[in-house]
Amino acid sequence: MAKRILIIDDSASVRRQVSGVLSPAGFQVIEAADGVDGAEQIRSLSDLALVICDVNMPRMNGLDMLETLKEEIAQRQLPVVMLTTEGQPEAMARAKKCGARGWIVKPFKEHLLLGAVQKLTLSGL
Amino acid sequence: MSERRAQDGESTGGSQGGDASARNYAVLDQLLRDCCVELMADYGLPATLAPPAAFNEPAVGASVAAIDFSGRDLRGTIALRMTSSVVLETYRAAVGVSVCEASTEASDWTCELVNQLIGRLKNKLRSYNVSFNVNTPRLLATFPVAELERALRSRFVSDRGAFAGYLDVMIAPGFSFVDSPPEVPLLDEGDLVLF
Repeated sequence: MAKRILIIDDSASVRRQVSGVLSPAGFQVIEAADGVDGAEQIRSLSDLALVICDVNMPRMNGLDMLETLKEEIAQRQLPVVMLTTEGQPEAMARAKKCGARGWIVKPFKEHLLLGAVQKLTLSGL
Repeated sequence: MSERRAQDGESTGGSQGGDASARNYAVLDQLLRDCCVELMADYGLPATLAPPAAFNEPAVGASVAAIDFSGRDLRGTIALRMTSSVVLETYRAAVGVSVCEASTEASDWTCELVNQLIGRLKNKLRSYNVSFNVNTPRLLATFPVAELERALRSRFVSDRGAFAGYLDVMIAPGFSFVDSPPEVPLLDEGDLVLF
């Protein structure tokens, strides 16, 4: 059964770009357009293998979403990788504190994204 | 608030306020240029700065998106205006498929490009210990718009079309760019860190 990856990004282009990298590698990619939708999907989908999440989004940004779901993410040992234009150490530190497992600065390199997803979905925590 | 705004002009701006102000705008102007060129190069679109005499806006079929930012030292709007050929070519390079000019995908991608442009600028400004919050991008239906009339601007040409970056910025009184190497190494675009 294909592992399910949730991509949360307000850009449909980025969601499509990520899906275009992960789907051919055998992952099932599910999409959410902001932190509110993303949080709902994480809560309702118990079999997610990994979450890829943007930072700057309308309604709820990725870091706020991560903070909101911090305990649930830890409990489920759900790997979260932030995919963002931001490279600020403070934001990275906040994400790490909330349980994120990785940080990628856009535009991403396809092989690095795929490698990180494969590694994190293989090892879990 | 007595912040100063970039003056009308192609590149230098900021003639008010003496040397510090001029240097501030010169730094921002160079950063804007670097960010524009690097962004498009990452999508396989090498470009060169158009000569000032050729500074005409990309005309028919151009797309423009803008994004607002605000921080202690700087606040304003950055915008990216591109011929549709640039939007479509970079989309194809990023996503691997082609879309048509009038599609929602092309509009979305226009916004994503300006989002990545402000991301680059923000990351480069870390070297000056400057940071700000970034809003979500918006597509501009008409151009020119009043908010960009006095912006710093640079236009570029490539073999796939033209694009221009705009930076309408207000600088806090007394602020001056000073090199401030970050204590923590900064991530570049494309970098990955696993915690």
